[in-house]
Amino acid sequence: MTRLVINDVEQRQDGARGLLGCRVDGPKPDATSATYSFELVGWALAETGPMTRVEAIQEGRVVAAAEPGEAREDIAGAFPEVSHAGACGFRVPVGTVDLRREFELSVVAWGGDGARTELAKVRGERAALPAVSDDLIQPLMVNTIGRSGSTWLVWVLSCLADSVCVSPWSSDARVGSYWTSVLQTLARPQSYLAQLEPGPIGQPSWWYDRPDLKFGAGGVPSLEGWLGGDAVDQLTAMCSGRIETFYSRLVEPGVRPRFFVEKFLPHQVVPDLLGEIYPGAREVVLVRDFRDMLCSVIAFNRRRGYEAFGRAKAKSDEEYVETVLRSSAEWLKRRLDEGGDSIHLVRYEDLIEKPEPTVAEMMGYLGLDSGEDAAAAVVERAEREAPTVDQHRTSEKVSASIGRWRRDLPPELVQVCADVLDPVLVQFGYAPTHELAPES
Amino acid sequence: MAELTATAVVAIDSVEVNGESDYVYGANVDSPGEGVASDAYTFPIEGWILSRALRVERIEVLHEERPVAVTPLDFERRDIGEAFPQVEGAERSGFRLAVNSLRLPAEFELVIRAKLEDDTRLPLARLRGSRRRLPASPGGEIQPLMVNTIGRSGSTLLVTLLSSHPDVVAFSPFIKDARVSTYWTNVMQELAEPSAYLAPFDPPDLDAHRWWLDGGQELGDEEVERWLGSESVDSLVAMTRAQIEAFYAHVAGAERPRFFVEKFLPHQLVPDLLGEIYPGAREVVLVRDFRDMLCSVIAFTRKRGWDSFGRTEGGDDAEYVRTTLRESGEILSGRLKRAAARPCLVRYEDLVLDPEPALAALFAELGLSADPELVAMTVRRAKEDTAAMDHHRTSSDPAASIGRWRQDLPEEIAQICEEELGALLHEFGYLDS
Repeated sequence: MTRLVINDVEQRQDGARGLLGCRVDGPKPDATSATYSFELVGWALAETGPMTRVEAIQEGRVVAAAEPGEAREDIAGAFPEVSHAGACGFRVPVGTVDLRREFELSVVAWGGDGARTELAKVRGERAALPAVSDDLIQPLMVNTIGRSGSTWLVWVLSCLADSVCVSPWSSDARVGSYWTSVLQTLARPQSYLAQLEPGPIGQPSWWYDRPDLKFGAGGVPSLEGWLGGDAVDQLTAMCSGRIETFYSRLVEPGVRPRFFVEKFLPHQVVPDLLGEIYPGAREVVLVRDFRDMLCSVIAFNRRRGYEAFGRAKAKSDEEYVETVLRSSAEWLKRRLDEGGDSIHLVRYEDLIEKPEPTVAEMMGYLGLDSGEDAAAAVVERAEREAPTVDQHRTSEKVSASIGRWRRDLPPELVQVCADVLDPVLVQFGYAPTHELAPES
Repeated sequence: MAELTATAVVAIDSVEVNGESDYVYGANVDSPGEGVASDAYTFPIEGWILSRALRVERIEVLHEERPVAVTPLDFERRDIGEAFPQVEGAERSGFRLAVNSLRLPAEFELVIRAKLEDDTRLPLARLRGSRRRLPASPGGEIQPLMVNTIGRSGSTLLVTLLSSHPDVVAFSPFIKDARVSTYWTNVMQELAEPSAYLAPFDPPDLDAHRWWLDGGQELGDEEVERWLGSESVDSLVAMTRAQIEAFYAHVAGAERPRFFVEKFLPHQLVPDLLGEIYPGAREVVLVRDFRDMLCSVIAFTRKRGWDSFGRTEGGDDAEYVRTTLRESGEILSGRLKRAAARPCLVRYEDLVLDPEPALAALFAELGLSADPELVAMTVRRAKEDTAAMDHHRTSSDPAASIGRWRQDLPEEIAQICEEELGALLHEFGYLDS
């Protein structure tokens, strides 16, 4: 059974400053594997001294890393004048359950002087994780950015007769993300090989993500292959079983909801994985005018006294718009584009201003009775049973929060939003900034 | 003795508080008191200590001298602040920590102590209690056969001999020292920590390394929290068994062995937990003349060039005997008397000098077929398998390694062995040899 195909390895062709040479020797293009893992093998030689770290990066995030230092006599022979050439090799095991099914990895080496060099791009595809029965409670995933009204949407969805979730007013529960993260960790060679090469079993978490474990550490290739293939399939079933156990516990005995509802962030791989595992998974992308969202983030953080929603990653509000907000908005757009009809778009403004038709459309997407009465009943229940949640709000009335950016944002920030966010705003159906004059 | 009811998971039988000392104005362990401590596997310990001169660095909870929970002393205690207004810092003299009883045997004794800045350890209390046993399966799986021993006692030979029996499976003991059941039991123990099972609720950073192991905070829903800490932990046990079963069923192929065999170290709790969750678990305590073992550890460490078996290269052999070796020997002795999995004792020397009767007796004690032909075949197969174990040996002939301490050990170390290990050597039948 083939679980992994490497489609392409694009080696660095041009020289980089200070780099004497590099190559990713493995995997080879067209290589296949019966496991969900592969190993990046290669070398990188810098003039100034040994490389300190090699990383595999997907979509800007490190998914695997190792310290170089593997013996390379061939490179020592080729560069006899470089004293550190004999130990410039690297081996980085990569678990592809951390990756999207069709993946592109950037292989990057860091020099001791802090210089970063891309060595190659590796493109490939892995098999979908094995699907569970559609009798299990299926995920209904709300994919969104913070301060987009996701708590309200999750609450509305939790009012469907066919759903279950932890009350979003009491906790932002991420049980699906939790068990999928457990799966991803245990499906990495750096974890599962520890069963065969235990090492420091007296230390806490000796089984977790050990950087010293490389392919071959288990001693028996066939068994390593089983741990990286069939055993990962079993782990998948175990993790979906844990999610099922949790949500079954939340409902009354005898009740079988169709969906559990949770929030996800745009960059997470987890919705992809849950989509592979659960045949009945559904995903709703929730957007809100990013300019209003920005106002809400600023007000919420000011009120709470600390920088949440990724704001701490930027030095200023302008930088926040240019980096975090733009990237998240583009993620959501990409998600929608790639998901096609399998993903449903909800605009926060529609949910607030036209709740019944918006909910009816969602119910239709979910395959539920989407008649006007059914949708009205859900909306009525959501409004009637919602607790008072002052701590969640940053504007007096929900409807007043729509278009607040025209009052709240300073002109210079409005301009940054126009420059950075207008293209994606238009794609989501919002008017470009220049068409809506700020209110004085 | 406090009783464990249907919902109680941990009960405390006795609490002896030692709140008086020249070092302190006062101290107390406020909870748990005697009685039910928790309806989840994790239970809280709360108290306070107000030191006179030396700062309290941390509070430690120990089981058999190993820490199971540690916390700094910084929990707010307004009552103590009001009672000792003249003492600076009195209002933050409290401690509160959670003890995961899956890191303890079903019957446990804990010592709570304060570590002062000059390294003084001040005993605060002694707690005795029990936790609900983990749920056992009906017994359809391959059951653990646990070889509990100290390194360089011939455990690889014993595992090879055992795994040569058709009713026992092991993963190539001469290739890798696999610890599959320890792995999954440790995964279960960590997932049963509140910091892990509460991590899905309001996680602050889903991109943080280990967010799902370390991020958990209070959920605020007592009933769900109780379920996550009790029944949900029980169901993690089934998950653990299933993963171990999948591994050994794969290794066994078409066969259906009764046991999988793995090695364990004396201080590990894992054999106790496996003994709870597998109704047919069995344990073999393997010993070797501790003096020969010491020679082997020294020689092996020298040959490999790195630290192993708890002894450091160039380390103090006398200290090693007084601490690691003595403690490990005492634990093995204690297991023979107390462990629930009815341990069988095997002496390395018997296994090497006359393997067939030793093995036949062991097979019989384990309820395995001890047919003489089968035993002979098992010994033959194991000999073939062990032919390539030169990298493992530190003497040319296993039989020649018996009594090597007489030539290899310096007289003063031999004397220390007799002083420190005399009772153990006598108990295991080595003192007169």
